[in-house]
Amino acid sequence: MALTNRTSNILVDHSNLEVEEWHKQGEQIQFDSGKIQTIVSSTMPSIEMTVRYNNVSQSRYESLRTQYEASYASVFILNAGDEIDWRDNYLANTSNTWAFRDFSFSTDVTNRFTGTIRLLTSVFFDYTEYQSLFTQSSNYSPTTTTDTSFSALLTGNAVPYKVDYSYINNSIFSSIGGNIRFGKDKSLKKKWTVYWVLQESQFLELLMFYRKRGGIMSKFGMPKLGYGNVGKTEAVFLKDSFSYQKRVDGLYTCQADIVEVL
Amino acid sequence: MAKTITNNVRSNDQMAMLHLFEFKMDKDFDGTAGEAGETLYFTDHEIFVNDGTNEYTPLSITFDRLTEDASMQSDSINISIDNINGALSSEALASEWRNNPCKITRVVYTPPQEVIGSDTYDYGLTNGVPTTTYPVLDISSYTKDVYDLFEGIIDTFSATEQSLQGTLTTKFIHWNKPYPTRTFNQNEFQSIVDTLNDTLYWGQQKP
Repeated sequence: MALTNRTSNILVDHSNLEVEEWHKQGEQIQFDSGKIQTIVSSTMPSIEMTVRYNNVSQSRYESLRTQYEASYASVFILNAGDEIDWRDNYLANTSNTWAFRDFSFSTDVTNRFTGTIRLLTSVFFDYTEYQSLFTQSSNYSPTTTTDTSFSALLTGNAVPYKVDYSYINNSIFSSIGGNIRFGKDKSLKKKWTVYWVLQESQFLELLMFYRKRGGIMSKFGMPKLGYGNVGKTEAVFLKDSFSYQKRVDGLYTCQADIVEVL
Repeated sequence: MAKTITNNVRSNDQMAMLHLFEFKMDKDFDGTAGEAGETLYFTDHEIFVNDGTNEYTPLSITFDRLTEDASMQSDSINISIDNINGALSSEALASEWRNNPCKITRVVYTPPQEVIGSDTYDYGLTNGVPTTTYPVLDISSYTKDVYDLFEGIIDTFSATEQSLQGTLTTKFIHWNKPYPTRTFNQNEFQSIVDTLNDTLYWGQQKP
């Protein structure tokens, strides 16, 4: 199966790139005479690239999320331009292969999305010789639910002011030199960190939800975006405690880590 | 087998090094490696390596320090191979690979200079990889030093989901192997006498 080219979906609307490149990785041995011998073991360049996004729209964020969820344990093609990655010029036409290292985003009441994606180059190329040897796949399939117990709170009295998005990726990767060679899908789970500032009566509703559902024990429907009620999947509280602050002005601040269950 | 590194590959004290691994697997359990089974070719380089005869598959593979001494005591070397796609452990379980030959070859070379566009790269970027087929490093035409780092037999292996550990032992392990022994019960006395009068051939009656 040919690798997917994700260039246009990932690089559109980014605010900046941070790149680090390694070339001819190996080791240096210094002799007593001061002479240095260099032994190169990896000749392929290895690149780590952080793509940053600042205040992009919800649809852009959702598009990026789709890219990650479709390739979290497998490699894909990304043409970052010859100035950054020019392996396609000297190695092979489709050798601009990359893998996700991590993915994190955040939004607040403005509903604009800010985040980073980290990518690493791969030596798993887009050729049948590789595909037939090491098949890769990413199959993210969370359990959907119609449970509205938590989304009723999120849309009612406990509207969050900020949500952080990340993932718990259990997939395992192997590498040669600084490049990713193979990835195996070992499941992916969404993780939300939801932040609130609430009046006492509203906060007590939230706390009561945590108490009634037994903390980490109970599954509930969590909307994809961490607020609203769209696209709910089964999730639980990540921690077996709920911490909050009561401020002198009588407001309560708290946050909770919520993670999908498969 | 010369272990000297010639001056060919020592220009400016910079050199590239890769290792080629060969494991003979015996799939029909007849004790003869290689015919019904197959030979696995691996390399710790990033892309496929072709030495003109065989093609070696890139794998995350490492081995620990090898020591040699004049006493010819059997020595062993531990290797660790990436097993994330599970292909190796299934291969290992489907084959009898203990006692089968294995070899680690070290290749020392200087990547040839290369010109891409108008720029010259001292130590080559492609190492002569063609752009039309999948990336293969063809070392057959290189000036290089090739020597057998280790030749021996496969001793044991253990596998986890992430990696496969193997122990390779030198061929001299055979020197330590005792002759097959046979023990008798007392009520077998008559058969012992019969046996003594018979011709023994490796613990069984000679046909």
